[in-house]
Amino acid sequence: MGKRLLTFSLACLAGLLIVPHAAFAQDPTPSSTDILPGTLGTVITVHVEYRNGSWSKLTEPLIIHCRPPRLEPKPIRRARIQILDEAGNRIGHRDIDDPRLSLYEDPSEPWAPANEANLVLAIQLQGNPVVLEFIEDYERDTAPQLSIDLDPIMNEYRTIGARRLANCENADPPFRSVRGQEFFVLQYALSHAADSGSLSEEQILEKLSTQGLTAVKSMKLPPAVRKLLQETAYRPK
Amino acid sequence: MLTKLRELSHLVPAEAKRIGLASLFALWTVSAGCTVETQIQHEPLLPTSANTITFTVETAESTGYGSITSQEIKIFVDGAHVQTCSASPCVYTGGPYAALANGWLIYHTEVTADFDLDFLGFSTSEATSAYDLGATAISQVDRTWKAAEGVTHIPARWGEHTSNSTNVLFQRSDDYDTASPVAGMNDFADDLSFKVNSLLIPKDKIWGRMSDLNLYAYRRAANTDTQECPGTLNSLTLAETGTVIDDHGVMHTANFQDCTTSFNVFSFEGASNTQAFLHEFAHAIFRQADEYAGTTFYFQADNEPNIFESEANCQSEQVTKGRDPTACYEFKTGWWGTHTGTTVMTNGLFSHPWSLESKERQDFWFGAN
Repeated sequence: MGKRLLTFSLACLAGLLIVPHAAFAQDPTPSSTDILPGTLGTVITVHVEYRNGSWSKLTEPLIIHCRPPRLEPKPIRRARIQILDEAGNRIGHRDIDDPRLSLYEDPSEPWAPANEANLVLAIQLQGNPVVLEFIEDYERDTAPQLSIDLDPIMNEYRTIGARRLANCENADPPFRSVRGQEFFVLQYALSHAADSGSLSEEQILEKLSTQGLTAVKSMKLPPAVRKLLQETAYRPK
Repeated sequence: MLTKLRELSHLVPAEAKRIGLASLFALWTVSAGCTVETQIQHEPLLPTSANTITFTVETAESTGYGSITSQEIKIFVDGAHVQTCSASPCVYTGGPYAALANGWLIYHTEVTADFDLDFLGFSTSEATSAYDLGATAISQVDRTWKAAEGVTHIPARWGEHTSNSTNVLFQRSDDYDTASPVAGMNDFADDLSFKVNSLLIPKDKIWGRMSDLNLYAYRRAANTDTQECPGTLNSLTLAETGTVIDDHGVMHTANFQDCTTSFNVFSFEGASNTQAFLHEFAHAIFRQADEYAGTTFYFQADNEPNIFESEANCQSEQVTKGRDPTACYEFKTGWWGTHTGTTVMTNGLFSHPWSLESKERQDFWFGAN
């Protein structure tokens, strides 16, 4: 009896933990097989350096398809990258750690910011920016050390779009998009799920398309395979 | 919790008590986390189409409340079931594998474990399951991977989509290339394999959490001619890798002062169990501060810092965690901690432990990433 009660209790508990999701309408758009450049994000980059006491740009800005740079909630020493529109309004910013902050193994001299630094400023493209600014020590002084004109690269972007980088597009194994859903499933997990149960890849995709990722719970699959399919799914932020 | 349940148990009729306790027991088994954890890894880390590959799966209990009585560990490579074991570690050697059409060799493990649980007279068995997945490139013998498409990195150990994980690119310094770039790349591949498979993945707190890290190797060489920390990344690195890479590790053979810059570029000696690798990795990836008394830059990270900028902060943390606030001491003028003895953040060898505060910092980091 104890075991039955336990099973019942676990089932009740599981039921409480499952959050019902709304069914999604069928989308006639065909599935694509890979993450496409358009799903990667669009990023403005510019290579800069610190030398002889000042910051300067090493290259002209680029706009690329790539994973957007990671956002650090609270850098240790905050530097800021920001983009401004024609009216001078900030339309996006990203805080990073001071590029001159170095931690040395067994330092023999008191700490000081590095005399040289080299990095690529990167920020996700939003709106129609005309200037990119870099401020090294944002906590103490908000005046930019660098102001970079984005007009030429924005004109190019409006004409030919973002540039593609092979390394950005080959950083992940293949994923499959799910029609009408804002997520992708790892092709390997999809194939393995089809091999492990009675549903074909297309049937699994169909269920995911109409019910979302919660459909995995009702698929007759070994628990580890369910986890594999569910937890390797990628949902763009 | 057990004592509290015993105290309350006389308040309800016998059958209701059994039902209530069974429900609580069920809740407890779930909340106590009687689950199996697993980790799969491959060796060599950067296989070519000429290599056989050894896949190793280890399992562990997540907490000490139950004990594994039996387990079934299955290894799958490229979707094919290739090995079944009843004990950890489970090992399978396969290959050589041809460079696959899609360019990746993906492998995974599925583990089912039975636990024996005993609680207030309720004895039961629980079955739990786990999986772990990894992927790697199978490069050509000359270490190129998708070279025709212009790709200049080699996926070493991929665990989850790049947008969800922290992506680390390793590159050798040009002091590896004394004989030739080909020999240098091969030596670098061997050393990186050792660093990752023997020092990083098995390290306490990192084991079982590799899905939060994607590791790549770069085919081009950095410059450490001046033997200055952390060396100069190859001039093409940042332009070629865009924004997909979060951290860069420069591995060199010469012995010089290593460092971490801006929490995203770090350096370390390649061969053997040197102090710099785990130490600098922890600076760059987890933002752990130095725990020694010196002249370095000290900082208190925003969440779960491993050192504190005031005694009050340190004591507050101790009280919050139910620990003795008098354990806080000023290890460096103006900086407080609870660590004692040698740690990874005072030194850095694999045998050195993480301090308790460093472990909590990593728990936070892995939970947030």
